[in-house]
Amino acid sequence: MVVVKNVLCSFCGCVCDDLEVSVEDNKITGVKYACALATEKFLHSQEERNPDPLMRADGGFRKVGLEEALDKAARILAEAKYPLLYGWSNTSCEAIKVGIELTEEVGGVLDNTATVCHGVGLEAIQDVGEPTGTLGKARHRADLIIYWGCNPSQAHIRHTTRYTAFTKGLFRSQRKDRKIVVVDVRKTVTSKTADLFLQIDPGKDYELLSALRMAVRDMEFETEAVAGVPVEKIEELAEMMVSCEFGMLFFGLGLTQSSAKNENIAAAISLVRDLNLKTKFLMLPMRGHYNVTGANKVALWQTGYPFAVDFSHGYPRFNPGETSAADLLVRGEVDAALVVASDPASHMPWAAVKNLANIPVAVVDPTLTATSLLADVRIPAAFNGIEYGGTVYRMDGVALKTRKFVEPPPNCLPDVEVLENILHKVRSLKEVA
Amino acid sequence: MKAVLITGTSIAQAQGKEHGKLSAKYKDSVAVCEMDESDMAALKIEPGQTVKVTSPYGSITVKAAKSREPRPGLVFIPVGPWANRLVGPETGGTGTPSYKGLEVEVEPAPGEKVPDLEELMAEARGGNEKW
Repeated sequence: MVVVKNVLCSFCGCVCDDLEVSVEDNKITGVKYACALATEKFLHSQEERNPDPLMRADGGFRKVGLEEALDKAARILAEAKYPLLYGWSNTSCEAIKVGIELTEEVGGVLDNTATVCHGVGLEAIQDVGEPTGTLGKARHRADLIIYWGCNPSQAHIRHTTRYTAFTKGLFRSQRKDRKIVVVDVRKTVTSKTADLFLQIDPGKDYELLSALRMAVRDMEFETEAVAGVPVEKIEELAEMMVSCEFGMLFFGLGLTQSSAKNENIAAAISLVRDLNLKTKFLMLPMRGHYNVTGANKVALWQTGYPFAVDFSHGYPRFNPGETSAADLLVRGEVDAALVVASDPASHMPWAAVKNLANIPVAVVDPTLTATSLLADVRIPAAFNGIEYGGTVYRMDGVALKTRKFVEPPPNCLPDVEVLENILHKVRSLKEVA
Repeated sequence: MKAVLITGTSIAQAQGKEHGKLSAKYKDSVAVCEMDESDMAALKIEPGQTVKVTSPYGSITVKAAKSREPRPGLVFIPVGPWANRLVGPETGGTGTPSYKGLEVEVEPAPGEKVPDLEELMAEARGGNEKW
């Protein structure tokens, strides 16, 4: 048995880098230090896995060779007028780079899963700027941590033990050195460990953020409560904010997916900007997938835009609402899709799923997903961070390298190789045409 | 009963998806509607019984579960194909649909079946699938 140390975790945006994985005869037999979610991923990565390339036939699927499956995926893209190339948050930056080249080649739209999660935050950053820092700053310096619309106890399980409440930092070494605040529509395990919990009415985040901006500026309220939160509590939080030495606001989908969306994030950024006139304050999104940040970064440096990048005019365009995946699918504007390391059939509104089900779809994914049930061709792939290595970006934008420690099943190539193959085939098809 | 629906991730949902999207574990972890105890009492339903949740955009049958923390009037369905039957198509020009804060109607649905993932995807394709 081999114990592989300092393994990077390819589950959530925390990208913990201290895992120990036991491997025996190319089989993962144990995982140490990982959270419950990552443990499930590592231990099940080799089980219940269908490693066969599949093609739709007679209302079901038939097994095909890998070459035939790659040919089919290339044909779907080459024959489409306006294809969507979607996913990208659970793969390597190297694969994303090839995906962008492929999108440009076929004149389609490249969108990543941020489009339905933290994309609105990226829109707000373009409007207002980004007062941000690394998780290391939170760990070593922050004496006030705010979790707004996120629940790390369920989704980013080691966030509090590695970066905030319960970690040993240089200047903050214990729980009592930090104040923890939670703002959420419901009580959570995270809120139970907080020093202050503000239970907010659903969809009223913008109002509460605006009220906090007033309180931070010592303005008077002419009401008893805002967004369901009593004014005394708003003033208490404002006082904690202005009197802290170093504050850090972490926000989740509770802020990005509720009614005001990008305006919520713009209001939060404005609040943090106001606070920097009085103390030191930064903010970070709680990114979900382990390389969704990388999907945004690679798209940004290659095309100028972080997601929803449309190449149909021959140059990159970005106009969320028009060029974003959910809107394109709901309106039935795209005529084919390549889905890489993602499952839009599970995570898009039904109106989008119905239209996705009725266009040619190629799926590249290590596992069978809801989207693979809708696909015309399914190409199996290897797991990044388990069966091949690549570059990923942690939620704070720190680039890290994952490693390979077991061999993938036959037919399961790294995404980057699958995509290079498809790109090569698309170019050949276009030359013939 | 009128309620506000929040969709989101949970430990069980995340573990279920890593176990396999086609697994029973995944379905059991996401085809559920977590509700306040008092709301369940008002609807005369027990955990594990089926409820029909309806939004302006669609409806879905899932199993009722007691929420871990009290919050009458608020219901939670983990992200997934079941919750997304209720999510509307509008993104307000942002690209992101409103997955949180949906107004829904929750009613008991005794005897109704919670659809499998395969059934939902077959319906999306217009039926006649054999997987």
